[in-house]
Amino acid sequence: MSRSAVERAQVRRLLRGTAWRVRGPLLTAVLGAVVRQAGVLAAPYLLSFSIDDGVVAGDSRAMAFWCGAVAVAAVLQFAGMCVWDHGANLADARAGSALRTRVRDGALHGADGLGTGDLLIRAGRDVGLVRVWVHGLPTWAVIAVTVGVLVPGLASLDPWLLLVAGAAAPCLAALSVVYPRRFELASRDAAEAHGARANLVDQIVRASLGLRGIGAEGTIVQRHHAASAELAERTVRASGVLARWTALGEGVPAVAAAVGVLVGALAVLDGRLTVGGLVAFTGWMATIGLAVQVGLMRWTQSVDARVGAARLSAVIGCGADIGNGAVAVPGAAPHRPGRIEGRALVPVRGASAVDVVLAPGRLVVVTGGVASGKSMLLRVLAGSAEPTAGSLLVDGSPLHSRLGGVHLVPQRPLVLMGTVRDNLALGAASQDAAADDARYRRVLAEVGLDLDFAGRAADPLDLEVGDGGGALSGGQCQRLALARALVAEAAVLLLDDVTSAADGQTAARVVAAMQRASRERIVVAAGHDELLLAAADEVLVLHDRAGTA
Amino acid sequence: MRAPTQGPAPAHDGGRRLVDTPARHGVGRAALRLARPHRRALAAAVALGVVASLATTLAPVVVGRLADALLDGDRQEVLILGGVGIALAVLRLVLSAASRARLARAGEHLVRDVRDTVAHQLATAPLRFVERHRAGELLQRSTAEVAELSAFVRESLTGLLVTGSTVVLLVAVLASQSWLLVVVLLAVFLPPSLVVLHRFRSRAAAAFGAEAQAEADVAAVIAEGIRARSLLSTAPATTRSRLDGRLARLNEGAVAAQMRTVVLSRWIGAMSLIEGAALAVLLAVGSSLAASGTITAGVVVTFVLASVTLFASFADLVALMGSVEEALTGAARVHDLLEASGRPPRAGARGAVTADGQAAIELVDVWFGYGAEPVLAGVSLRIADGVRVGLAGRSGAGKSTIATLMAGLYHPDRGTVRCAGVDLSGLGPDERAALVSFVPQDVVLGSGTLADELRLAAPDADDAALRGAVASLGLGGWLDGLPHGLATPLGAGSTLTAGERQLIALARVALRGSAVIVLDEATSDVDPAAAELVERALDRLAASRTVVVVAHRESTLARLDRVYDVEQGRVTERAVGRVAERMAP
Repeated sequence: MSRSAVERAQVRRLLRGTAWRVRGPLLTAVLGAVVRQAGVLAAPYLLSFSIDDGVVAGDSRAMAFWCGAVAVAAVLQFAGMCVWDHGANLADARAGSALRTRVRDGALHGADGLGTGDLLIRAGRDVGLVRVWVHGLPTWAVIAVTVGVLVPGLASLDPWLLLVAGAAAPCLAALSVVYPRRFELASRDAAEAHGARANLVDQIVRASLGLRGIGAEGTIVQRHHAASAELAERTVRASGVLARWTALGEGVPAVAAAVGVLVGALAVLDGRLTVGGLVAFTGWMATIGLAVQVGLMRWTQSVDARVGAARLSAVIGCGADIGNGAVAVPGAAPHRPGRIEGRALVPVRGASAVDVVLAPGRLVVVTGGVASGKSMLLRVLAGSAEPTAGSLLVDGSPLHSRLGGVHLVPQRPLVLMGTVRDNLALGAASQDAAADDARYRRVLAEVGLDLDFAGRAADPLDLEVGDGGGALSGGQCQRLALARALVAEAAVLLLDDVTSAADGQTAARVVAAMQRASRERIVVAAGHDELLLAAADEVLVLHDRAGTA
Repeated sequence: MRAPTQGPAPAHDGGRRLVDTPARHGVGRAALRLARPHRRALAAAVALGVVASLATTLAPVVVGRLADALLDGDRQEVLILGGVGIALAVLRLVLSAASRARLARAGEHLVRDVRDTVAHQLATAPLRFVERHRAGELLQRSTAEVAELSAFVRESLTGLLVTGSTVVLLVAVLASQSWLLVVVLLAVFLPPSLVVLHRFRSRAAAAFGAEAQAEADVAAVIAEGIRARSLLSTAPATTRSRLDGRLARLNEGAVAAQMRTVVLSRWIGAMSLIEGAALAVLLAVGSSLAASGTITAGVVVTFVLASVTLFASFADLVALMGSVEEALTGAARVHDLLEASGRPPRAGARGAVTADGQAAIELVDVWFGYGAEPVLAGVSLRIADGVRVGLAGRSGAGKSTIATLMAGLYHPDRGTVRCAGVDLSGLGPDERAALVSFVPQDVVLGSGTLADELRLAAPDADDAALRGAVASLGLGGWLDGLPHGLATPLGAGSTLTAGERQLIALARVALRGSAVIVLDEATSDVDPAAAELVERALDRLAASRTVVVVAHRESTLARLDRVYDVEQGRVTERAVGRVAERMAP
C-alpha cells in the first residue's frame, strides 16, 4: 500500500515541479485565457442589449454604442487568445525540453533493466503526455471563469433557463464519458484487423518468390480478401460509434437550446425576459457545450499525464537530483586488471570448457566455428555476461563488479552520428583540441582508416559518419570502434571479428596495431582469418556443440 | 561458333517504376469508376446529410419568426414555433447520425475495393516489378496510405458533406430572408477571411515542417544518447559536456521553431476580429433596415444567430480543404501503384505441347536482362526427365536468374522456356505451379501458424494430409520435436532457423506435387542439423521428380547427377574427365 502512496507522491512532485519550472509563461497564459473568455462570454450579453435597445427600440445612438462594444469584445478576444497561445506553447515547449534532457541523463546514470525501446518511448510519448497537460493548465481557469459568469448570468435572465442549462451539462458529460470508451474499443478492434491485413500484404511483398514458387498467388489473395472484409466490417462499426457520438455531441446542445428557447419565449410572454435576453441565452448555450467538452478532454489528459509522469519518475529518479546538468561520476575508480584467468569456462550451453590466462604482452586469438561461443566468451571476459559454467579470476580474486578499463568492440559496434572526431572523443578528450587531434590522427593511421577517409573529406577527422554509421562500411565502423578503444588506452581490449571485412593490406595494418597494443595491455581478438591467426602469440580454439571447431 | 549478337531491347515486363510525387489527373476519373458500384448507397447518404443540414439551417429562421411572434404577443404562434424548433433539433440529430454512418459505410466499402485490387495486383504483378522496388516503399503505399484514404473518407468526407451543405443552404436560406443583408455579411466577412487564411496556408507548410524537423532532430539525438548510453556513460567529462551543450542548443531550436508556428497561428486567431467586425456591421445595417420597415426585427435575430454558425462552418470547411489536399496526394500515390503494377497484356502463345521426347525443362535461345545489359545471351539448355542437376558458378554469374526463369517466375525477353513441353509464359499461376515449383534461397514465412504456411500449397488439405506430406520427406521427427507441432506460430519471435524454413518450403513443394522442383540453396545461417534434414528431404523428393539445384556449396555438387557451370551468362556442362561441350550457340 505504501509503495503506491510513495509512487503517487513522486508523480505529484514531478508534475508540480514541472509546472513550477515554467510558472512565468503559465501565469501569462492564464491571464490571456481569462481575458479571452471574458470577451467570449460578454459577446452574447452585449448582443442582447444591442437587439433590445438598438433593433427593437430603434435607438440608433444606442445601436452605435453597442456595435462598438461588440467590436471591442472581439478585440479583447483576439488579444487574449494571442497571449494565451504564446504562454501555453512556451510553457509546454520548455517543459518538454527539460523533461527529455532529464530522461536522457537518467538513462545514462542507471535505469538498468529498461530496454532501449522502452526508454525511447518514455523520452517521447510519456514526455508528450506531460507536455499536453502543461499546455492545458490555463484551460481550468477558463472553465472556472465560465462557470462563475454563466451561473449568475443565466439566473439573472430567468431561473428556468439556468435549469435547462444545468440539465444539459450532465447529459453532455455523460456523452463524453461513455462514447470515447466505446469508440476506443471499436477502434482497437479495427486496428487489430488492420494489422492482420497488413501482415498479409507484407507476406505478399516480402515472400513473393516463395509464394509464386508454389503457385499460391490465388490462395494468398483469397486470405487477404477475407481479412480485408473483416477490417471493413470493424471499421464500419467504429465509424457508426463515431457518427452517433458526433451527432449527439452537436445535437444535444442544439436540442437543449431549442427547449430553452421555448422556455425563454414563455418567459418573454410573461414579461420576465426580453427578446435580447433570449438571444443571449442561445449564445451562452453554445459556450456551455464547448466548456463541458473541453473540460472532459483536459481531465482525460491529466489522467494520461499522471500515467506518463509515473513512468518518467522511474527513470528520472535514478540519477538523484541532477537537473542542472552536472555530470555524476559513475561509481568508484575502475579497477584496471593486470591478469585475468578463466577456469573451465563454458561460454554457451553445449560448448566445451576452456581454460584461459590473459596478461599483457601476448596477443590472444580466439577462433572456432559459427555458434561456438566466441562472441559470448568475449562478453564473459568483459564481465558483462555470466558464463554457463566456470569461474573468472581477476588478479587472483573472483570477479565481484564490472571490470573497469575494459573496452569490448562488438561485431556491430555503436557509432554515434556526427564526425569521426566526435566518435573518437568518446574514447578520450581533453581541453587541448590540437593535442587531441594529433592523438586521433595517430590512432586512425594505426588502424588504416587515414587512407580510407583521405579521399572523402579535407580533414579525415571532420568526415560525417551518418546516422548509425551509415556513411561507413561495416568494416570501417569496426575499425573506428577499435580506434576509439585504442585512444581510450584501455587496460583490456576485447575485439570481435574486426579484420574479416577488410582487404589484405588494411587487415595487416590492423593486426600490427593489435600486436603493438598487446605489448602493454591485455588484448583478446576473436576471428578466423589466417593473418590474425599467424600474428597471434596464443590461439584458443573453441569447440561448438557438434564437436567441430 | 557464332559470335554473340547484341540482344534485343528487353521487353521489361517488370512494368514501370513507381513515381514519388505522381500527377493528380486521372485520380478523379479513377475515383468515379470505383464509386460507381456504390452509387446508390452514396446517393442515399448524401441525401440524408443534405436534409440534416437543412434542419440545421432552418433553426435560426424559426427563432427569428418566434422573435417576431413574441413582439406581436401571439402566444399560440410562439408555442407552435417553439415546438417546431425542438422537432427540428431532434430531426437534425437523428438524420446527422444516420447520414454520417451511411456515408462512412459506403466510403469504407469503396476503400475495401481499392485494398483488394492493390493486393491482387501485388500478388500477380510481374516478379520484376516487386523486386525492383524496396519492400518498404510498396508496403507504405499499399497499407499506410490506403489506411489514410480510409480515414479521410470516414472523417473528413462526412465533415465536408455536412459542413459544405450547411454553408450553401445557410446562405440560400438567409438570402430568401433578405438578400441585402446577405450581401453585406458576405462582403464584410469573405474577402478579409480569404486573405487571412491564404496567408496562413502559404506559410503553414514551411513553419510546421520546420517545427516537425526540429522536434525530430532533438528526438534523434536523445534516441542516440539512449541507445549508446553504455558508451556515453564511460566517456570523458569534456566530451559529455560538449554533447550536453549540443543537446541544449537543439532543445532551444525546437522551442524557437514551435514559437514561430504560434506567431503564424495568430492569423487564424484574427478570424475572431473579422467575425466581430462582421457582426457589428450586420447589427448596424440590420437595425437601420428594421427601423425603415424593410425587414422585421426577427430577421435581424435570424441573421445574428445564423452568422455564428456560418463563421464556424466556414473555418471548418477551410480546415477540411487542407485534408482534401493531403488525401489527394495519397490517392495519387495509390493510383500510381495500381497503374504501375497492372500487368501488360502478354503476347505469349498458350502452350502448344511439343511432341519431342519430353524434356523436363527446356530453355530455347533465352535472352534476359535486368536492365539494358543482358545477363543471359541466347542460352539453350535441356534437362532430361528424372535427373538431379546442379547449377554452379561464382556469385552474380546468373545461376539464380536461370533458376527463376526455369520456374517460369521471370519471362524471358526473347526465347522460350518450356516445362514438359508446355510454354510457361502462357500459363496461369496454378497451372504453372502444377508443373514446376520453386524454393527460394531465403524463405520468408508469414505470421500465421505452420499449418497455415503449408496450406498455401494445398488450401483444402486437412491436418492428416499435412502430416503425411511432412512425414513423406522424413521430417516427421522434426515436426514432432516442435513444441506446438503444426500449430507452431511463425512471424515475429519465431525461433526457426533459415534451414528449418527451407524444410517448410520443401514440405510445401511436396504438397504441391509438381513434377519439377527448382531449389536455390540456402547459404549462411544453416545449422548442420537442419542442413542434413534438407539433404534427406531433397533425396526423397528427387526420387520421383526432376530437381534443379542452384548450388552455393561444393559439398552439394557431389550428390548431383549432372552439373552445369554458369559463367558470364553462358552455360557449360561440367564433364568429369571429358572435354567440355559448349551448349550455347
